[in-house]
Amino acid sequence: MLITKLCLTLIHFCITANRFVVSFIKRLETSWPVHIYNSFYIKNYPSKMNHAPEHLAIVVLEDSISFQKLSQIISWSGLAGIRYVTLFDPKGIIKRSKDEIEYQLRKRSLLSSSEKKVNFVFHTTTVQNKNGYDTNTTNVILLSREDNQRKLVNVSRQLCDNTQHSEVNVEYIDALLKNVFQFPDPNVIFNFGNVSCLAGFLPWHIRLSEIISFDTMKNLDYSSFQSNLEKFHKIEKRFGK
Amino acid sequence: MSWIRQSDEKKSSTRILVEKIIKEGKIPSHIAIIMDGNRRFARKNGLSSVQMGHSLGFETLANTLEWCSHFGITTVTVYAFSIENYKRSEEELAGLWNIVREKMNRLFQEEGKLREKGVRVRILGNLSLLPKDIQKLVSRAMKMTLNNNQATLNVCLSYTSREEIAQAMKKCAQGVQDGIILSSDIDERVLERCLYTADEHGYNPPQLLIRTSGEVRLSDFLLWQSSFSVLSFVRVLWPEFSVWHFYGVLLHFQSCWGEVSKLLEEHKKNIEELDEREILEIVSRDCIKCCDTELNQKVKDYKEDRQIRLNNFFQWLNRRREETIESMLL
Repeated sequence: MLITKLCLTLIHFCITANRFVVSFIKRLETSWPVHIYNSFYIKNYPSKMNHAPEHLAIVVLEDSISFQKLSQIISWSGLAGIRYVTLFDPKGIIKRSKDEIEYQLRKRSLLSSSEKKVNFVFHTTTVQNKNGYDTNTTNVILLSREDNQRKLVNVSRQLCDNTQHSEVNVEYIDALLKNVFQFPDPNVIFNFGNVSCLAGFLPWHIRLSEIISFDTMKNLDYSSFQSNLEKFHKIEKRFGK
Repeated sequence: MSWIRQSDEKKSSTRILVEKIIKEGKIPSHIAIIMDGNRRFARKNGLSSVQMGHSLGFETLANTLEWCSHFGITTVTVYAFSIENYKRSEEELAGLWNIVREKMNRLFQEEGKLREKGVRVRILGNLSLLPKDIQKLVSRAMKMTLNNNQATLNVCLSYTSREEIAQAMKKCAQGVQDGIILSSDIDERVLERCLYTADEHGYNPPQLLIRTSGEVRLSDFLLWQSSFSVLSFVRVLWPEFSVWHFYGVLLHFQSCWGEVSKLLEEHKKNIEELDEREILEIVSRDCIKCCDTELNQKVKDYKEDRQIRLNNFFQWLNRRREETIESMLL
């Protein structure tokens, strides 16, 4: 009896561990200095992508966050014409590292010989879209766990004091949330970290977002960045019909 | 077709072995399913009407419920009809309502079997939008299975998650305006208790969410509740979803759950810390010169008072749930 139990446990362990072995090997591959070479070739990238989404969200659930890679993704997004890029990790590591990311981004733009200069505007608390119609501006929004369900709790408290309960509906709440976050709902979410979970990311805003999972952001190169975004332009959204 | 399957066919020894292996790992207690792809299946296989696709989809659901019961999964929540779906053609809607009528009548016939297995059926969503006769049928079904307590099947009908969250906020606002709770009592845990999926025993979010047909969106389904669920997007269309896909999804869940449960624990801890800080702030507002022991006593008293308010509010919510069912029966 004990032996059968042991065998079953062992087989189960092997099956579930398999994923980790694969992702470990992939990680080894990427530790070769290939991505350094990649980053110098930014001048070859198309200046604007066909059908870039308006808003790309990046959910990072990896243990080690590479700010160099993040800034690369932000700069690709800017060059591709994406107007909003949201970065989220639950602990707020990214949010606290705003200066580091801005520094990396500046360094990158000095190195690149791209004709097009993108203006990056960072937001950490409320997102007011002052210069939203400037096509050369990409808004970078940094979020942590306080910005998710908590924002809905705040709206709910706010409602009680100012509104008759009978008037509460979806449009009303959406309007109140727009006071805090003045951005369109994310079109695509890149989910890094091999856990297939969004860790509470903006529950109200993600109803139609396409969710794409990656083991790690370290593997992402420009061609897969682009193809994953363009793939979802083609998807026929039926909106319930 | 029946809601409750009696497994008369013998399982192959491979299946028995695979199930034993999967049972070595964590099994979710609650899974949620977006049953997508019935219409595409009908078109792909040249079936005469989309309605046949939906009927086949129901068969898959009945099978899935049986597999879930083998694994001891006690709650299943399925997305049957979205508020957005009211935009579909008159013809298709009429066909869908006919399926609902047929399935509900079948459910009444199987009352004994449901009681024997202890299955409670709940229909969740903005039911006031449904055709009148269907409102009557679904409320009768909910009342009939109210006291079954071994397993729960939640069917989301006329549902969207945003509407659910809006209704939850509305209930909180009414609670505050009727003097049952204070607006500062509202937090994540209170809002959760107001969602459609919560019942008199509390809030139980799904640990695994499955969507078939290869779409990778939540489409306004359980947006709040799936915050810390493992998301599993399966390529096959819903009528093609087999027990082997189900095994695959469970294995995927098991390889992710370790990390996800850690994230969930952190989230809960964070809410508690926030709560402590807020209470301290509220209490020290009218007690500026208090010493620590006085302050601690005040915090304790405040928490006790709040618990009483919240218990009253939860009872009020339960009464409202019962009243809604009763009013639809008329």
